[in-house]
Amino acid sequence: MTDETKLTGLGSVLRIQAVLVAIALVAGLAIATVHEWTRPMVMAQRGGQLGEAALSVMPGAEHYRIYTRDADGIPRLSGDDDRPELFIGFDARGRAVGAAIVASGMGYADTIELVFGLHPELDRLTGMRVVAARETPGIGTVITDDAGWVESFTRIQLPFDGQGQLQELRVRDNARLEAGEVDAITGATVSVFAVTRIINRGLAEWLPILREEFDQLAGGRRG
Amino acid sequence: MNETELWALFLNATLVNNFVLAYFLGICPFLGVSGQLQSAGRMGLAVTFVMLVASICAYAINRVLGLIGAEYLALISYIVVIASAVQLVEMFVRKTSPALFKALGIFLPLITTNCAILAVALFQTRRDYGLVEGLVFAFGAGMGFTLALVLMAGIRERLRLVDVPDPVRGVAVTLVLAGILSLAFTGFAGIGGSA
Amino acid sequence: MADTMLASERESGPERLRAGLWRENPILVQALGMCPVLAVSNTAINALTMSLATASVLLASAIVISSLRRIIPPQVRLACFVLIIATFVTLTDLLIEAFALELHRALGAFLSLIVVNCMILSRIEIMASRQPVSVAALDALGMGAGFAIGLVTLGSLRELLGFGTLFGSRVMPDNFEPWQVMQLPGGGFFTLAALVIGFTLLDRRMRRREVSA
Repeated sequence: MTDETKLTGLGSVLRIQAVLVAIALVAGLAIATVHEWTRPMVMAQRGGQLGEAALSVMPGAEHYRIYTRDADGIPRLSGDDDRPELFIGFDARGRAVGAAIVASGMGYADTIELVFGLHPELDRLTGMRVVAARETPGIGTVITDDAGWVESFTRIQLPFDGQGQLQELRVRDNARLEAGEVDAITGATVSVFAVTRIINRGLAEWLPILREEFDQLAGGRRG
Repeated sequence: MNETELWALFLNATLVNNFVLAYFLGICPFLGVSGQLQSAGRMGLAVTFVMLVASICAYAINRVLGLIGAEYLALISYIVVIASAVQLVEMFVRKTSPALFKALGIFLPLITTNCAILAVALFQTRRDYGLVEGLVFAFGAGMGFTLALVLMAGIRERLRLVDVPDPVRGVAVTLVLAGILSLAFTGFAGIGGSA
Repeated sequence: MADTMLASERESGPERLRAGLWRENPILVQALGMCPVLAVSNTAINALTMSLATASVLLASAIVISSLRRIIPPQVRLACFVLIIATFVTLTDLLIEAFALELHRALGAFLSLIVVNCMILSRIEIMASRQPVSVAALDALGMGAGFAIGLVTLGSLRELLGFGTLFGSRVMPDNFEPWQVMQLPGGGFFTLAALVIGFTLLDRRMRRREVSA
């Protein structure tokens, strides 16, 4: 290798550079072209899946508007290229019936992405749906497959302290769950904790924003 | 992330989601090189070192690509930048610390294209780790890799004295051992998992 | 190793096609390129998608590199190879994401890891960088198919015993209790070990028969 490098003159060094640059250019161009072509399809599918999940966690919602936060953290109607972050659901008469928040975080083996619904009063959850997960089959997959557990998220009251400050949801192994408690599942501790943590983080991020903006986003008409 | 969470992240990458035993990453050196305890340890350290370099590179690449909105070029950039960075570091180490170079050097070019290295870059991107989290994750993954490699080398040193049936010799017996180790490691599930 | 390389260089395209399927099967004989694939070998459909993606990347890179083999300077050939392979991996990744989002999610980061699959780089280095396009393409096809056979067998076994299903549809009787261990990473190692042992025994028996015939 070193001998070859010494022997090659300036001309062939230039040639080597030229070939490398040419290959890199063609490669970059090809990737960019295909990316431009497939991106709308991917965004449409993703949006559709998230939208479906969002409708399922907002009872009574018939249609929705999609929002993404702008640089100042204020929700704006999403363009075609934006990642959906927040859905506001409306019933057939156009009244806002809830919000659905997209949140993700680390699960047991890979990231979990989920959507959870908030009641318009912003005091309780109305549902949770995992959109993407790669948990241990048969164990961690209860977070998508255990219908009873998934359904339990439709009745979780948000925990507030005396001053109205939001507290974190906790995982509890209890027959009778109280406000702010998520049912534990034996054997799937890690996945259940992960879902709870992801929701907590989503709530901490979004509840203050929604308290400020929900009326505006809902068009002044709460359901 | 606070200290506890970083610690949990480290344990998760080392034990619970061990790169070799849970993700099957870096199997090639695992099957090939892990015959001797000493070289297994050195190889592990070299991999850890390159993983840390890769983590920093990936973080920088993500920032740059994010700025110009070309995230789809990530993979191709990781490959090129990590390989060049390792080469630069190699030259630097050779100049400044010949002893260290002697210990790690021969492994460096070998492992640049190792799947475990690229996986560090890809996973930390997918999981949105920041710089510190990425480094802790890379260090944990490297330690986990070293642990698996050293364990395997230890077992294989013993295995030389054992009468293994002929068709099972070589790759097959290593795979069976890896399977047993992997099952043992599932016992760590839950540790640091609530991070 | 050097001997087998020389022998394979003299062979024609169709012979190379057969070699990849059995005698030099990348998974069962050479134990190559398993890092990024074993992790997603838990179901037949994951294994099939992964091996199809790997085989397409191998085929495309082999054709491109073989036709550029006189242009690529030997000093930077590895860099060029990796660059070309990475391009095809990214393209495959984008296409799977567009047309099969669910599968893309199931395969996660492992799809991108095809780029460091040692099987691909070794085929490029041994065959595509030295042989005309036709031979390189057939070699890639054979190796890709052999890879797919090995991996889909692995995925099918793990799905069959771990879930009692095959390609998602139930085949085991209702009273079958799934072996959960098959779905854990350990089960992947065990299944692959069993396949390798089985292949070795079968191959030996066939050779003995050839000798006695």
